Amino acid sequence: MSIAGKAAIIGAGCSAFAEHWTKSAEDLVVDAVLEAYADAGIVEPRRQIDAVFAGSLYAPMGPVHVTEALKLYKPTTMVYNYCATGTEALRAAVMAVASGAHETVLAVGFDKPKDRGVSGPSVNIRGVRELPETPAGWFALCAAPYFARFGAGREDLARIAVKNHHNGTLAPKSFLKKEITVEEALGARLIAWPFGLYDCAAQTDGAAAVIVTRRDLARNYHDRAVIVRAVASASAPHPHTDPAHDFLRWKPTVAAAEAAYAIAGISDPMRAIDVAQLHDCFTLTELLSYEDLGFIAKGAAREHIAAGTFALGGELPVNTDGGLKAFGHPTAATGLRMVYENVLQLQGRAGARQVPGAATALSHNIGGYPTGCAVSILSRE
Amino acid sequence: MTGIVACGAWIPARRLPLPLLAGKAAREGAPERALAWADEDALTMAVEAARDCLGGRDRGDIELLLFASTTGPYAEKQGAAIIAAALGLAPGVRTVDVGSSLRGGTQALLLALDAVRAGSARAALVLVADCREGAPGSALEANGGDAAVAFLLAGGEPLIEVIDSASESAESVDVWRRHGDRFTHAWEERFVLAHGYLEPALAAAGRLGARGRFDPARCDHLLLSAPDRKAHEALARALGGASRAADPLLGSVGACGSAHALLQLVALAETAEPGASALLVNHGDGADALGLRFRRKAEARMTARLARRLPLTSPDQYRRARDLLVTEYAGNDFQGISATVHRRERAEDLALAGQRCACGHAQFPRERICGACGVADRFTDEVFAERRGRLLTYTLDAFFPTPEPPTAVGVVQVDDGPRIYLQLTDVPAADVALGMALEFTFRRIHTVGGRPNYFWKCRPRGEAA
Repeated sequence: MSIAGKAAIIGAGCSAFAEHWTKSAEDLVVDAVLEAYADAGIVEPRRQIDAVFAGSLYAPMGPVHVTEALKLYKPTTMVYNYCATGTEALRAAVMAVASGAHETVLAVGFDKPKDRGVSGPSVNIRGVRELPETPAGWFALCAAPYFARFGAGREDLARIAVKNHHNGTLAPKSFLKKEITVEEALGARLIAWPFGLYDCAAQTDGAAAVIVTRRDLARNYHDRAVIVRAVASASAPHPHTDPAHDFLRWKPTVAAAEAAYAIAGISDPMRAIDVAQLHDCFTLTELLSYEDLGFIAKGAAREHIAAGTFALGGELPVNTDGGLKAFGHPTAATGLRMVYENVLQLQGRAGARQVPGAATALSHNIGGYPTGCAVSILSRE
Repeated sequence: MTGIVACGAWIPARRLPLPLLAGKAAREGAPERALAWADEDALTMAVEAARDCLGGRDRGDIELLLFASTTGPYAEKQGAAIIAAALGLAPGVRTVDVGSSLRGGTQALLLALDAVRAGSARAALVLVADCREGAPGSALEANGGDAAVAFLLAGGEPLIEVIDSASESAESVDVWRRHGDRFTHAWEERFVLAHGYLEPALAAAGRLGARGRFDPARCDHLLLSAPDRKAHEALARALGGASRAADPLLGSVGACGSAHALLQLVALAETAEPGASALLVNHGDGADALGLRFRRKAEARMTARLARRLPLTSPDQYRRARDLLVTEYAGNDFQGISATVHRRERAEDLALAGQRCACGHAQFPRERICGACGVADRFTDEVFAERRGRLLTYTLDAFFPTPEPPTAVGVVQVDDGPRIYLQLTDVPAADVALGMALEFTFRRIHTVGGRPNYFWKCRPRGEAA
């Protein structure tokens, strides 16, 4: 049984992404979910929601954060797949609906990293061997081989940061609303070579949520439901030990994209996809994803970045709301924030950053070392 | 005949130019001292000296391991046992720590000699290492040095023959460090020189001469431990000849504690003519005097060891690395590494042990399922520490907390082995390059939990030890 086209998104919500010093994780979950309820026209969630699929990397109490925040006592499952957790929550929700186990479910992702008192991800030294344990260091490992092979460099990465910072100025709920220049990006302090400060996502607090129902039930709510054509997830060997890694790509993205395109019946993603939200935890991750998702050939990113292929107004606008870079990255919320943006784009509600006539949208989450990836493809009904 | 059949040494690459301690700029050629870096201590240096000494030699006959140091990482928990694990010695090896006195180096050597001569060990490995850390502003801070030496003792044709020895035990409150003290205290300088140093050293040499098997007055070379240059010159004079004294390495390595006279021996073994004799005097709560004869020349590596230098350029580098600065928070001190996990993973962490599947696939760390053929439990253990490798990819991580960011880290392809994610050390960030040739080095990787935690790093493959 395929999940293709069996489920529909009838509501989407997203909190502002910010350093929410005065709000709790529960407050942010409520912000996102109440917006999703309102978007779907759900007025009695205790009657209308059958189950909850939630994701968080930092929440110490797991499902209780959600059930108590919403006072919604339904079968609640936490999912976890590093930075791909948000999309994994959507996948669990879609599978639950497509299988017939539930009719209408809530998927919610949230994280509250700014309650920890540190800037950036935690540096927890738990083991002796896997050091340094910093995401910037892990995601930087493709840089030297890719640069050596294809002649790209830090300037190409900087152009991605400049694009996403620009897009972020157009999204009301984004964290960073600040244009930057290539020179500023290149001159920023080093985080992990080749990444300077502006190559790294802005870690924020936030939550995002969608309501998923059976496609045939969507019309009971309204007539602008978005169809889930595919959600796929993939794993790949740990890049630090994989004996066959070439450090020119991230294998989880390649595998998840292949699976998602097979489910959705897409053979030429560059033509089939109108708008995409990619996991720009670091600028290089976005660059590699252009290629690993099959939008362009391996090694061609540099020329496409220069040509503006992925800018607003380009052939395939990427990270229209500013991405992790500028919109912000509350880890487990990110995948559902991407779905929120894609729903707005497909419904023509994206304001100044609207991609005209967008009919099919892709979102992409990658996480771990990286070792896991999840991809969603949505279309207008 | 039983004697020293192989020797080795480790001098840390970092050097502290002494003008920096006086608030002046470092200039090339100024006196300096060797400085164990933040990822080194007496134990890691001893492992490196041992690897230098043993080379590709089979380690199966080493039945006694002695680790002598006054600066071992633990008051209770044996350094020699950690070293035996790192070197992959047989579990039946007798491991001994010798401490409490700078004289421990020669005491360990003589104990090992006795054991091999008596037939209770086929071969004995003696490792002597010290990090001489002085309080800021003290003479020891400038005069001290950090280094390690290794000697393999066994039957057969020796490199160096120990003809005879004599000891002098002399209780004196001249230099001491109590439990809980970080730095060494010393009594009044001239008292220490006269009664803590010269008097017992001359007494031991005299007693050696009186035994009649070795004449200290007629030997070719003098190898003398000393706290500083003045003391060294005074003892050499009193023994009848500064011209016969070997370079005490003051101003280059520094007075490296229990390894000081023995490091001079390792150096001299490369240049002394076969048949030449040497008096070695090592002080500390008395003195040991050894009469030695060189039987053949050791492989010449000392020049390269001394040339492998990464001099510091600012005093703050030194203070950060040696944890001499007051900071907002104490260092990383989470719950620490689980001792349970440490025990399970000690072969990986201490010996860089991985495994090879019956299908031929090599893996690190050791696991149940093969990544190539997918079959479970067909592995044999394989140690990769003495293998070489090359750098497949890397980053310079400025976010990870360390005394000297950025941390160079990368994926290393082990020759005929697996890929391992490792830090690089003893290499300036600007020199890190794709494909660079690497070898492994045993280091103190962090002190999470307030304990030293050891693992391997990579350094550029070089000619030097």
